[in-house]
Amino acid sequence: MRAKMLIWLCAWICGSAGAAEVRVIYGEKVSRFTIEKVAAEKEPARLVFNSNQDPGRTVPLNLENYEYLLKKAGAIRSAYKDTAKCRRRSVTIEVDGKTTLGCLVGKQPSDAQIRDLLGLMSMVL
Amino acid sequence: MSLILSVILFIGAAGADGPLCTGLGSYGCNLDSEHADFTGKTVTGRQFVRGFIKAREAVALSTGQRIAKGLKSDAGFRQLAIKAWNLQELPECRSTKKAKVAECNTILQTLLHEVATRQLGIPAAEPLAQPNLAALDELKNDKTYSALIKDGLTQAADEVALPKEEKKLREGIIPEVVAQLIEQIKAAPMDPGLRKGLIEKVSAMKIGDKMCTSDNQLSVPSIVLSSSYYSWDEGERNTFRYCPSLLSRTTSEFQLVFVMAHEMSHSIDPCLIAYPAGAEKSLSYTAGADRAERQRQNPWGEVLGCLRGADSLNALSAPASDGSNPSHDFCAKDQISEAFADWMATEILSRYVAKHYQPTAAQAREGYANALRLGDCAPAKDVGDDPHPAMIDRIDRIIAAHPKVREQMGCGPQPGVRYCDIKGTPAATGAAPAPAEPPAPADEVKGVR
Repeated sequence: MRAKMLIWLCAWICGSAGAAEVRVIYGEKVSRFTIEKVAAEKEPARLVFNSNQDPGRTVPLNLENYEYLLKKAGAIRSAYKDTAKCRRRSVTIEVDGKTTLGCLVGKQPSDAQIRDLLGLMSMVL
Repeated sequence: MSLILSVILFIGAAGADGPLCTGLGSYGCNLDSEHADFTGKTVTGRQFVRGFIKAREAVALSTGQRIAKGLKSDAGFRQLAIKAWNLQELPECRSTKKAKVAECNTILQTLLHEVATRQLGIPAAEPLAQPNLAALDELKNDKTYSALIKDGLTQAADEVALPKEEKKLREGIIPEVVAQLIEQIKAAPMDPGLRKGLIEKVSAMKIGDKMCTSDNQLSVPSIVLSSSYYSWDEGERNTFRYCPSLLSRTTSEFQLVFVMAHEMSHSIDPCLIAYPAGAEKSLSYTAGADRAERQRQNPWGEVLGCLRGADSLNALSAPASDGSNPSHDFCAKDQISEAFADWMATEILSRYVAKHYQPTAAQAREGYANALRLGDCAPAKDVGDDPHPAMIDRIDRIIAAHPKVREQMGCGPQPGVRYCDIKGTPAATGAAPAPAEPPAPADEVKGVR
């Protein structure tokens, strides 16, 4: 258990977690942003966007940008136990298997962080 | 090409008692084209996106002008842009000479235009010159940049507005859907106090303005975002909203009525029926009761039980973290609320069609195929990912299963599919108050019935 915690802590501090996924439910629209590493030297990572209403898009990321996005996603700590109060516009963030729930238009600090992350990703996609 | 495919699908889906009596879902999932019914048309996929060329061009042009103005008037904004693309050492951007400053601004304007238009949901033709994301993050929150994005979103809403269609929606369709929803509440067997409370809640529902959100904070901004939703968010509780481009996607009354009715039905769905919007009475599920018992306590309990059946929609819910029991409150990782909203929307739509029109069977089939022609026909997903059941099942096992719809479409009963009819299921009375906060959700996402 302690070893598991240390590994997770290191992954968090070192910013070396593997992948993150942000799932957004916006009424009937469901979107998924994936931040992941790929086996390529020039563009070692990528940001992938998929949705049930838009064509999918992929943007290559350099290591610095990949780590920045991953750290930003991993830093979001929400107090929500579920998204019952905002479930028609909810967000699920998964970083290395650890899940965080959020509300797209909520007033918690984590909601603002989520909007911030989505805003940044939408600038480059 | 799309037309040919539509014809093939239409013919291929013909059942024994007429085309589309079986396979309405497959036809409704025929996307990326325009489908007209006798009330309007629905446009999906790339064709829908292409329809915004004029609006996109106008927004892109104005955004470029706003950026140029910002670069001239706000030195801080300019410096953040230089930092975002690591242009500090570029001679044009280092120089203070007027001509060089103008050259640097031209470069910055191009780069800023790339990110701003992306953020406004305008698809990019060229790949983006990779910025420094940490610096871009700083730029994103700059007041000049934030203002130009806000202006762009407002302009986009104006550009895609269809005033005539919106008037019909706001003054005709929406009030009628609300009235129909109230009729449904009146018809369901329940405690009179609860009935009064639910009617008050639905009557008090607010209809948002033309923007998707109350504060223009489009977190998933897009000119082509055509979603609509019922909001329970803090600050806009019990509010129905639709995005500016909804009417560009569809003018079909089949889809508009269905989508409005679906969204508004969430105000009384198995989860939110237990949450009052104000002082009105709401359903009190018995604290500690298991899911089956709570389901029985719901005024539409019999329908909910039926919707979970394999001969109906097979609405799934996720098991709890220990794998034993599913979530009890129907609020998270459970398809039942979406299934209920679809069921209620079908009840309302079939009545709306009967009240206003006498369609031929062929017209009714085209119309009902448009009701959920939204763009997502992917196979069923994990319940934790998306609470919506698979689109094809929503069409085939809810809409096309309704006896009135089948009658309007000139179809006999659908083999192997049961319609969930409402019968006398008494609602709970005098139950213990619901817990103040919904219980923690299940962690696993594998679906179970």
